[in-house]
Amino acid sequence: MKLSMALIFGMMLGLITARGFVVNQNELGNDRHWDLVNLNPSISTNVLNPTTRAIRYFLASDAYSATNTAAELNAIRAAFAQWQAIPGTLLKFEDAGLVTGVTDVNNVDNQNVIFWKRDGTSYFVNGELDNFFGALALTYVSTFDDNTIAEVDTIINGTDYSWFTDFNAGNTFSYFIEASVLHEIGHLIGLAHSPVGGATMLTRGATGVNTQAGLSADEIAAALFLYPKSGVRATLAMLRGRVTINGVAVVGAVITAENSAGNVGGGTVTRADGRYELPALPPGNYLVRATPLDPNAGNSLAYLIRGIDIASSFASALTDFLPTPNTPATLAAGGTTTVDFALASGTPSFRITRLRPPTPDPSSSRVVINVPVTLRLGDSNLFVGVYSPNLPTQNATLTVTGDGLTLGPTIFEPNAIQGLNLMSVAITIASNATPGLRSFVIAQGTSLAYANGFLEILPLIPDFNFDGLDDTFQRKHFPLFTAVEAAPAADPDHDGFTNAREYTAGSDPTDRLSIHFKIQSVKLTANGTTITFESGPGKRYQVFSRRDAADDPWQPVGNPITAMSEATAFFDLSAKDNMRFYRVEALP
Amino acid sequence: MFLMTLPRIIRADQLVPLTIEQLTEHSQLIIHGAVLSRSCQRDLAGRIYTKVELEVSDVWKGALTNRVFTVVHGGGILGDRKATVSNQVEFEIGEEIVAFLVVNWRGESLSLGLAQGKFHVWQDTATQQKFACNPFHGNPAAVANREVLHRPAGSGGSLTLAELKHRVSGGNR
Repeated sequence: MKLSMALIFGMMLGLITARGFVVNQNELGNDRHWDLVNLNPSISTNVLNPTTRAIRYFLASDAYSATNTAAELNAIRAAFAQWQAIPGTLLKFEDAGLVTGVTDVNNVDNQNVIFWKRDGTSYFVNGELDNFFGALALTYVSTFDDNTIAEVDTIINGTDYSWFTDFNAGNTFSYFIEASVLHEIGHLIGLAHSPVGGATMLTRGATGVNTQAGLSADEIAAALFLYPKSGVRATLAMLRGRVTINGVAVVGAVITAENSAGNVGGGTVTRADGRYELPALPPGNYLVRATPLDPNAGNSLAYLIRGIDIASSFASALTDFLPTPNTPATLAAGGTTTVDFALASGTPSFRITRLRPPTPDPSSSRVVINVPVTLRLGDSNLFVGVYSPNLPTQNATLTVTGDGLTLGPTIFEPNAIQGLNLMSVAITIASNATPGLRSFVIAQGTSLAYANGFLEILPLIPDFNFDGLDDTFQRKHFPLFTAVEAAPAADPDHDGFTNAREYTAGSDPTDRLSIHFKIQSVKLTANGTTITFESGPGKRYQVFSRRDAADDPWQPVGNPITAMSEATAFFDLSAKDNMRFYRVEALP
Repeated sequence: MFLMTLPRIIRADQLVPLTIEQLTEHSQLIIHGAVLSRSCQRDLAGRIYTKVELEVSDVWKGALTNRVFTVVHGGGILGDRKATVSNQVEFEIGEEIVAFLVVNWRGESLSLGLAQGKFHVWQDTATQQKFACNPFHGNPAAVANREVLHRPAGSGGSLTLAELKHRVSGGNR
């Protein structure tokens, strides 16, 4: 009996496979997640709403600051809303209200709580069982034995770090609440850190509105895999495979799938059996590669992403193998494509361990960062680059993947700063390039190095909540840009013009007097004049006219009319002789 | 007129690296020892936590009367529940460690800065020299035993146990 049990356990271990993105798994390979379909009866209704199947969260009422409390709480709500807005998932969150008084981590108090620790003296949390000095934010997760989640608490460090909320403020010295909470919610739903540079789940994020803000394709795939609506998986494709060296499984190999635009569609790392899965990719053509994580070296400039930066279970990742060239793969909806890699053992000739942010003058600035660089559509002649202690100093090329790019020749700067060699390249982004996460590639003969997803091309219009409306407009006019009243089809000022139309018109969607709807045409005939104007369906309008612009007073023409569509034609029977001036007023 | 070159190295981490000097300054107790046992239980509020029993061989900061010493950290497995947090300190049975500890109001000792407060100690089999590493300082055995990277002078790398102790002593002054 014991033998049988041991055999079964061993077989199950052999089946453990890394998912795309990286999900926290238990020893049996069960993905950590909330079971929103078959509710665990042990979960409190305070934690998970059994009717709506929404994960409930409480917010500490004092937030971070005394002066910006409402916006700080809304930043957290906006982060939840972004995860919930991913099309095709069951993910749902519910603001359960505010909690007051001293808040602490407690994974058995039947409350998912998010709070700032900011008393300025103590770093003790979790009933003084932990000291979080040095941490930006932490998410404590409690799970059942099948690895489904029971309860979660998130603590944000307000003692050592400053936080801000305004997406448009250009603040580069504080941390953007929304981005960090977006990351922590990733842990809250079961994810570990991602090996993809521009992913929200990257282990680190810079101050300011960083690349963790807004969910990447990697997190979207994760949510679609862990929490799919019925039928969604059939529309997605599965890429899987096994990574070996001389037949022996490789743990911790980074697998990156790059779509036809050159953007990273997903990334993951192989588990102990060498297997990986990218299970929720959009169908299409991909290039797939295997690259090593960086060694856990004491020299902090000698690594970019290490095994322990993904999760402690990857601390033993094999880092000594040669990065592969790309393997093409065609993925079909509902299908599975297998790409295995037989790797060559050996220490890579060089790695990319740091990035150079864009600069117009390559000789004036040598800033070194360990987070992705960002560029915008239409940017031209900016220099970006990569560093490491062992980069080639000649006879190599630095390129960036994907469409719509014009790259200059590679510039080498040996020992540019603190023993780091620098390779730079001038880059111009076409206005029609595909936004997304590009990768840096160094090639020298057959030797390769990648920084996967470490260059983000930002879209012209940010749309973090996938509703088709420019977030900048929504953030400007609504305290919570993801709120129902900020949606494209909403009309919170009841002027008959939806937010989407007010965005196009350039008006204030919260002020009914701000709309400047246009008279589209005036047509004079022998029978009268037809005035056609923009209108809000269901709204009432009064048409006025006068004969000349100087002295004649505005006179109402007929009675108010109710618009039936987004354009209304009004017929002025009295105007048969000459063109008149017309004005249309929206009535309350 | 000439252009100023302003080199800057900027780091951004979810777990911000603490220097050895910071770890030393903020610790109330720094001990060198080995892990004897681990056990999970609940605190009065029901939280799952882990008790780790250490056999202390040396005290680098603070004072201890007993050779066997207990530290605690949040999380663990108890019954059908598991509690975790990323970057939590982990102790393996038999592991040789240097622990940077703080004391809570109940008098329990815990790791400063989660995983950052524990250095794993390992011995080079060829030279018998001991080395130490935590997530941001020193090389683990797997790295140090091969020349993976060219390391420029003064930019870090392997950290001997003796050097760690020396830096702790310096930080104590």
